[in-house]
Order: sequence, then structure tokens, then C-alpha cells
Amino acid sequence: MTAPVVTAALELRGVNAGYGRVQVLYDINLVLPPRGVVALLGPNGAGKSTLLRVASGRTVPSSGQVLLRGNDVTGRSPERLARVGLCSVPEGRGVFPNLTVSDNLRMWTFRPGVRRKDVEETAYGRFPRLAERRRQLAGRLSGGEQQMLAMSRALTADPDVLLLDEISMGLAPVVVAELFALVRQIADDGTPVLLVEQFARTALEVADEVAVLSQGRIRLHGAPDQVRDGVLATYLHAEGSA
Amino acid sequence: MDTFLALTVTGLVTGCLYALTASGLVVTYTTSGIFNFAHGAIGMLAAFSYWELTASQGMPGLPALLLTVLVISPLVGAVIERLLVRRLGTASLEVTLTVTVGLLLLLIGIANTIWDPATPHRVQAFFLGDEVTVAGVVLTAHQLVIVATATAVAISLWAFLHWSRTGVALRAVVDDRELAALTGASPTRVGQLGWALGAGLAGLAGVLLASQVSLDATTMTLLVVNGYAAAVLGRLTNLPLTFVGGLLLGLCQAWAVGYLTLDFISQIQPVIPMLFLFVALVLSPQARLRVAQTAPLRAPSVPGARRTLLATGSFLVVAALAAVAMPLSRMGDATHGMAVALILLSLVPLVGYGGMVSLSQLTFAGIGAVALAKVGGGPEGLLAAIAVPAAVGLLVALPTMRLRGLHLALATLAFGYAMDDAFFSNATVMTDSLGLPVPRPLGLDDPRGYFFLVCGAFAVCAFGVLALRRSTLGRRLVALGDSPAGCSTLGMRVRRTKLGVFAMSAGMAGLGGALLGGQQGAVGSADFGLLLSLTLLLLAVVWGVRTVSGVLIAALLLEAAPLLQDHISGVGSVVPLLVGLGAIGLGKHQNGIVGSVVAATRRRRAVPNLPQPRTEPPIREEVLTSAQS
Repeated sequence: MTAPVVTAALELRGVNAGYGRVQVLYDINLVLPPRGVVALLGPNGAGKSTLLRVASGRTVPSSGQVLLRGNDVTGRSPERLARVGLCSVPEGRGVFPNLTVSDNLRMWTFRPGVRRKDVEETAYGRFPRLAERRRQLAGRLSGGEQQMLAMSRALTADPDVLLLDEISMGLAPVVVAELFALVRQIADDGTPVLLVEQFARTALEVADEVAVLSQGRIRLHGAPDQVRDGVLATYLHAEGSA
Repeated sequence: MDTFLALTVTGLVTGCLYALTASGLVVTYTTSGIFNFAHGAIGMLAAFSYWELTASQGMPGLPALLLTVLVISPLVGAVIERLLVRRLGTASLEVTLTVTVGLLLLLIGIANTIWDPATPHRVQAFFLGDEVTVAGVVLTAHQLVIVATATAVAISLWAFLHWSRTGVALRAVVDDRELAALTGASPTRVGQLGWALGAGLAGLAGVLLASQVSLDATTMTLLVVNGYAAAVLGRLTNLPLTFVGGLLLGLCQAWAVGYLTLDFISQIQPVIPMLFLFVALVLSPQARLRVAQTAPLRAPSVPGARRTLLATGSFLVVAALAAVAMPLSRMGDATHGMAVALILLSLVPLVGYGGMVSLSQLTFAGIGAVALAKVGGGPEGLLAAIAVPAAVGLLVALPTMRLRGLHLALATLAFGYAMDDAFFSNATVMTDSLGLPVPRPLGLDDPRGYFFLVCGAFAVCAFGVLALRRSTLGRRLVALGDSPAGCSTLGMRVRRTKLGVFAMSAGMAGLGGALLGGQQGAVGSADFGLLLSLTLLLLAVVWGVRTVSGVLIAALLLEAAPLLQDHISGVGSVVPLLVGLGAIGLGKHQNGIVGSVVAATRRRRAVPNLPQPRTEPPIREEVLTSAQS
């Protein structure tokens, strides 16, 4: 899909990965273009989170390559990847619950060049609620506020690639809509986003491209309109068996 | 009023030392999740290094202090983190505990090798001779230094953790290790920093303490056990509370010494930190039940009833043959070995099956021996030797049952430490300075007959332990080790099961101790020392505490070590070193040597039968379609 001249923001090439003897991902090829939102959909246990773990360096693939802006970063530690601009918000817990809001923001400054003052200005400017609660423990915030705090990392760290794992989990629909609007805005500002979602409908609206993962393989890939009908079928494992 | 002030001041000074040690412990525990039982040993090492620099090399006090506290100790901590802690990862409590206890023994062994324990090492106090009078209380300058240092450390530690980015990262790693990595903070480097910091604090406390006590590797290492109580009051994570705990403990001790009658005090004083710890345990909030072990481990296979019966029978035949054929001169050692094996066997249901760790099993053995001595050699004496330690075990374990396994280990350690001083060295208990005479149970004075009795007791207990493992209770125990939360959702009475097994194990150890005492004819304080308890536990774990054969081999080898020493000089001092090293190597072979060997032979036999590795994911479509039709 990608034109050969443009380097992909993030690319997985022939990735096989798993935990111990259990293989989860089989021969994954996925390209995140330099702009836009790619949504990764799939049923429970399809391997979505594992794919994000591989992309963020938390799980080392048993074979295959991970490329960040064309550079092979396979096997790099997550902290090194984070320092060079890969921002990954893990599933359901993108904040440190026993640290105060301002301590959390302090943690967003580990990427070289990111200053504490700028982080606080941006975060508190975008989410005034966080400014009111800066001395509170992050774990005491509401789910929506926690997710705002987590997303403030994506806003302030000026990442080259943003990986989001099920940010809508357990949140009220209003908050989810707000979050996805924010994701869209971040993408429009030029940061490529890889979004993992279990609930297809919301993700299909915000995404530019959709990949559907099932049983550790990418079964479908294309524009939201192209794959919309195939998504449900893939969720039910009906494809290919007939 | 003056006495009160004076007592308060000395209490505060001691409390400052406790607070320093305990805070170091908390820093390492929170950053790496591993409770460092070798914390005191690091402080001890620092104290000896300080002695080496000042008394031996003639360096002045201040640079030596700075070098020890800022360079040597943190380096030791960082190296330990790099070589040991990092490999442990998410190992079970039983493994992390044995590795750090192994480290403790190793460091004591190293210190005793470098600095001959026979020659006294003295360290001068800071500003020796200088005194200050505050509100009518005379303070030595050294005491002032202690208070000033502790205050400075408390403040700067707090400021570091809250104001610097690295400090925030330290707390962040405690909170969510993975997320910390995703923000770009390196959890491994932070963990290393935590260990360096903790070791530095241990070193500081060690050096400050060095001039106050006689410099002895074991004493100094175990002194820290007192500090554990302060850390537990701070729930092992809260630094300010830990500091308060240290000060309170120091005060309690000082007031107790001053106000309780003198005669009584000499006996009760060592028990105060233990009482303090138990109060802190009772005050601790209920721990969350663990859901499941992170690293599943294949347990050794359990022999069936027929194999157990066969093995027990053949063991008894061999024992009978040995009882007849063995030369009388070796009989004592062999009996001793079998009694130790029985004590080690008591660890199998507790540590091996239940995943609970007792660090003072020999203390229970000692109580058994004393009970036998007091009641007499008849059957009622044997019964007391089982029942009394079991009852005491219940009391020790009771306050920790709401909490995690680590707290049980801490409680047993404090108990063993207190009993060392207050009970086994107590003139009213032991009556005779040469030790308390223990009769041979059932009047079996013939050494061959007695040997067979001990073997028989071991065989019966081993049979019972294996039968227990096959029973429902045994499965419950193993399930408890796997997932306490799962067990309690199934309606199992988690605490009752744990308490019962702990009491049973203590009773078995008591029987072993009584038989041991009968063999020796008398027991003294040296027989049931805490350090020996730790060595035995490690030996059992290294050889395989999940298997009966593992602990039997461990006990027999322990007995053989002194025999070896007759032939090769110097083996005796090497044994603790080897045990320490072995325990440290445990990270990989968690079923012990016997378990690993058995597994290896099994695997070789089983290789041809292994299914071919799947290249395709398991197909679920069939299941789906068949369910639909």
C-alpha cells in the first residue's frame, strides 16, 4: 500500500512472537504509514496486545523485524524506544496510580528535549481538570481523568509514533467519544497512531486504515469501508474455512 | 524525671540507628520487590571495611566513613543487584528468600575468612571523649553524630524521592514497572540505584553502630533483625512510618530497660523487638490475596502409595542392617544425622508443599528438646516434645495469617532471634551451664536400638508426609501455594489450613529436636542457633525441599561434612560458603538438586514420545461449528 519512497513510521516484518512455548503471533506484516490512524481490531485473544508489546519492545519477537522509521529496532529495550520517540500507552493503565498527577507528568519528561514546564503547561492547558487535581494521587482520579492524564503523555512528548491499547476500556461513551476526537486530532497534527480496539464500531469511525487480527494472523487489511463487512465474519472465524 | 529524660535520649539514639537500617531495607524492597535478608550483612561488611580502613590502614575517620558509605557499600549493593536480583525477576517468595538468606551466609563467610573472628576488632567512636550536656542529660558526641546523620538522611531521602526526577522514577518503578519503561525510565537502572541506595544506608548504619558493639560478623548481621520490626510498622513501603517505627522501637527498648525490674529485664529485653514486630503485624492492614504465581513451576512427581510403602520398607531394612552392622563409634553421628533429617523433613510440607517459609525451624526443635527434658523420657515426654512446639508455632504464625508469606518468614526470624537470647541462653530454662540434660526417650539407652528408633521415627513421618501430599489436604496445600485467592473463592479455609500445617511442621521439628537432644544427652544454646536454622533451611532447599529424598540427602551430607574435615582441613569453614553459593544458584533450579536430577533423567527417557511442535495455531473452527449444529 505504501509508496516505496515514503518510509513507514513503524513496520513489522514477518514477526512471530509468543510467551514461552505458546506462540501468539504468526508471520505478522504490518505497516504504519507516516500519517493517519491504523486501527487494529480483533476478538479476545487474537494477539492484539502482544502485537503492541512487540512494537513497543516489551516482548522480543522469536523471528522477524521491527522497524522504526526504517531503522531496525528489533530487541531494543522499551525505555530506549521510548526515548527515541515511540510513545506507548498500555491497556487500561497508562498512569502511575500511587503517584500524584504532577509526579506523573514529571515521568513524561524522560524523553530527551522534553521539559517539565512545557509538559505541565500543555497538559494543564488542555485538561484544566488535571490542574485542579495536581496534588491528588492518579489512582484517585475518575477513569476518564486517568485516561486524560495518560493521553497527556502523547500530547506533550511529541512522539514520532503513538501506540494506544484499548483506551476506551471501561469508560463512559461520552468520554470515549472525547478520547477518540483527541486521537483524531493528534493524528491530524502529524503523529501516526496505531490503535488497538476490541469494539470495532468506534474504531472504524476514527481510523484511516484497518487491520483485523484473528488467531495470531492478520486476516483483513484495508480502508474502513472495505473491511467493514468482513470484520464480523472474522470475529466469528467464518472466513476461509468454507 | 531525669532518668526518664536520659532513657528517652538513649532510646532515640538507638531508634535512629534502627530507622536508618529499616529505611535502607524499605528502599531496596520497594524498588526491587525483594526483601533483602542480607541487609544486615551488608552493614556488617561496611563496618569491617571501615575498621580495615581506619584501624588497619590508618585512614582518618571522616574520609573512611565517606569511602565506606558512599563508595564501597553502594558498589556492593549494585553488584548484588546485577548478579543476583536481576536474575530473580518474578521468582516465588521461597526462592527470593533463600537467595538473600544464602547471600547473608555467604557475606558472613567472606567476613570471617578475611577478618579472623578470633582476634577482636575495635572501632573508635567519632569524636571520642567529647560530650555535650543537654537538659541535664550527658550525650557523647558520637550519639549526636548518630542523631544528626539520621535526621539529615531522613530529610534528604524524602526530598530526593519527591523532588528529583530520579526519585520520582524510583517510586514510579515501584508502582508500575512496565509503564515506567514505556515512559523511558530504565527500570533495571532504577532497581540498581535502589539497591545501591539501600546498601549505602545499611553501610551507614553499620559504621555508626560499629563502635557501639563488639565487631562480630554474626552478631552485627543479626542485629538488623530488630530493624525489621520498624520496617514492618512502615508496611515495608512507607518511609516516614518506618522512621517513626525505628524511633518508637528504640524508645520502647530503652524504657523497658530502665523501668522494668533489673533481674527480669536481662531476660525479657531481647524479646522486645519481637513483641514490637508482632504488634506491628497485628496493626498491618489485611494483605490482598495473591491471585496466581507468575512463574509456574513443575513440581516433582509424587510417589504413589505402593511406591511409598516399598521405599519406607526398604529404608527400614537398610536402617536395621546399619543398626546392626555399623561400628559403634559412628553410631552417634548417624543417629544425629537422622534426627537432623527429621527436622529437615518438617520443612517439606511447610516450605516444599505449602510455600510457607519458616526461618527458625531449629528453634522449634529446641523447644521440643526442652519439653522432653522437662517432662521426662516417657511417652508423655515425646508427646510434649510434639505438642509444645506445635502450640508455640501456632502462636507465632497466628498474627501473620492475614498477611503475605514474607511476614510469616519475618515473624519466625524475629522469634528465632529472640529465643536465642531469651530462652536458650536463659539460666532458668537451661538450669545447667553445661546445657540442659535430655533423657533418651522411652529409656532406649542402647545406641543401636536408639539409632533404629530415630530411623523409625523418620520413616513414619516421611510416610505420613507423603500420604499427606496425596491426600485432599496435600492438594489444598499445593493449591494454596499456587493461588490463595483461587482457594478462598472455592470456599477453602485458607488460614486454618496454613496454621494447621505450620503447627504440624513445628511439632515434627520438635520431635526431631527431642530425638537429637536424646542422642546428645544434653542441649545448649549453640545447638539451636538462628544461623544454624538458616543454614539448614538453605541446605534443604538446595537439595530439594519438595522431596523427601532431597532433605534426607541434605541431612546426611551435613553430617558427613565434619567427617570430611578430619581428612581435608578447612572444609568446615567452607560449608556455609558453599551452602550460600548453592542457595544463590537456586534461581534456575527451583526444585533443588534432587528435583533437577530426577527431571533430567525423566526428560531423557521421555524425549521420543514428545509430540511434534505445532506449526499451526490450534483450530477452533471445528469446535464452533460442531457446537452450532
